Amino acid sequence: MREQSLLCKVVKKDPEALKKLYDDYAPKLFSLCMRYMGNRADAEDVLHDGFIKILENLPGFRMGPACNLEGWMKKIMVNTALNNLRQRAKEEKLISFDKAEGKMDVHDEEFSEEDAFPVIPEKEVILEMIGNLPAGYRTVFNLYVFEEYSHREIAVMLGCSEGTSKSQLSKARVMLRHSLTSVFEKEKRY
Amino acid sequence: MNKDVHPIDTYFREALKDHQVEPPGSGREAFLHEAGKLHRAEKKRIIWLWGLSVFVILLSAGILFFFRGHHQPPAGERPSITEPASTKAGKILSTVPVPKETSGTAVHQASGSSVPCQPVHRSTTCAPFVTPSGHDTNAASEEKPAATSEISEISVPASSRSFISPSITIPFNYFPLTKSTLKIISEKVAPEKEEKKVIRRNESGYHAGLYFLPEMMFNTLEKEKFAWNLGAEGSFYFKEFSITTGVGLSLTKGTRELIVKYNDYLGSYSNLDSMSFEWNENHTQVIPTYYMTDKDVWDSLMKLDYPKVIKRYIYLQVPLMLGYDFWKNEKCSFGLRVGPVLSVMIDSKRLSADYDPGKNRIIGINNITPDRINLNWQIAGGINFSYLLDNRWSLDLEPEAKYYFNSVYEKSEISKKPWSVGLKAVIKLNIKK
Repeated sequence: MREQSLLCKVVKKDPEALKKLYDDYAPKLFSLCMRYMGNRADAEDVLHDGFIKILENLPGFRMGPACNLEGWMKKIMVNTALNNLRQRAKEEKLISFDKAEGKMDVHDEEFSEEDAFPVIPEKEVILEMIGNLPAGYRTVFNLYVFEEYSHREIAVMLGCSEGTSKSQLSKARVMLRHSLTSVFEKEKRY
Repeated sequence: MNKDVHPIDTYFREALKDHQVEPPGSGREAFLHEAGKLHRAEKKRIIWLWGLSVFVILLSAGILFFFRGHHQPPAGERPSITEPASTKAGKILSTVPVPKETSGTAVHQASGSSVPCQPVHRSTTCAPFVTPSGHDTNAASEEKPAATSEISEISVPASSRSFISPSITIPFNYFPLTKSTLKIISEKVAPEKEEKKVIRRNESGYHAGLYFLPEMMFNTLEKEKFAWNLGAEGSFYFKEFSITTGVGLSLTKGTRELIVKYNDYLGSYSNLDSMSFEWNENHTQVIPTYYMTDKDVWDSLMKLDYPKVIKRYIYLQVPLMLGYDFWKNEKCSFGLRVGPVLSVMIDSKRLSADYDPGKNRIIGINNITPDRINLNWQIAGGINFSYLLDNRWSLDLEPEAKYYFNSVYEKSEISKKPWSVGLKAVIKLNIKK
């Protein structure tokens, strides 16, 4: 109900409502942008573009039991981030999902419950680990783990094969595991 | 769909659950600024849509008005009433409304002689008093009489009025008008006034005219922007086809944004350049002379300023429009106009004052908004509505849209090509009949 009245005011471009919308949702969405873009500057751009898209599309949004505002905003933000990454890939040829596969010689290792890490480090450290992944790995990992898309859906979204999506995820996991291990080893030493 | 649950996935999902990162304050300001711009653009769009709707409604109403006004058949061509009259005079008089100002109608018989009738007031009971010479009443009674309810107005020639008494009621049997013989022309007396001046649209000829076209542009760096076009044009018409060309000027304002790099002025001090000493024997002392200059001091930190310069651009426009009138009558016509327009920039003038840096030290000035292009092509199309004011003058209204083949800027950051909508008004003179 509270969201509903906020939305009505935002659609009318009430400045106070706009501020409230931004203040309420920007921190969560900025975290999402950081996960996808890997650095603060690019995440800021995506957050800005995403919020403008949200504003433009808000009159068409209908609140309902199956459709919550935060989820809808997250979807827009994810799409904005993916578009941004695609644009970069075109312009700078930074990301090529298939090419990225060959860049690292990592093997899909088997994980067991013993591999579970007892202590969760600082969230910023975790975010940095994801940010350090190659863009292709990072994107697939985010879509699969946080947005809970299937490999088929990811393949459609990214325009790659299901197999590519699976292999990217697997390699992302390996890299993250190595990162975690090195973090814990450092902590043990100190 | 079952997804494999991987410890790394779970670990990271849990680790970043409800994670929030505070975005920078500048992002919030930028968003609010952009939202304000969106709001203003939306308002403008709504105003334009309303304006356009009102224009279309007015145009439609105008067209309907002209159709109704010009498609009524001329009075002389109205069908004559030939139904027979069989009812009695009293009944007739109760059903026939006779306006006060009515001077009368002419009642004709088959022989061509006019039957005079008395002009009547509403309260007066009267019937035409007829004494046609050699009229065969028996023969007339055999024919089917005319329906009196069809008779609307009765006119009487002034010379015949003496035959009719306003107070006498005469049965209509004395007025043996039949279907074959009765003809009532319900036109008002004053035939000289009804001869309207006939205006006819020529099949072919030359027109010269002056036009004015306010235009609103979209997909430019400055969002929506007005341009004012005015000029002279000449047309050649041949039946439904026309070709129009001319010369016009397009006036538009543009805001150029600059980026100025500067150092802040902090103040000044007196710098000692040199000094000399002189021995003053009277006072037995050395008197110093200082040679100083004022030195300004600027901050070493580079700052940025974004001044805006308003300029007026004047373009020469040469259109070449091809037209086809898909509907026309004597006074109005509707048609399509399509053709290319060439625009050449002939002048630009700065309207705002020069940028004043004060005492700050300018390091460099760069353009953010690129320069205007000197030449561009557009394609214009519109729906033309033309109305003949008289045999020589006509007024054209033409809602039109333009698409620019290239950007109006030299280095445009906008990949979309500009387009515009406008309403052209032309006053035309028919040169050759």
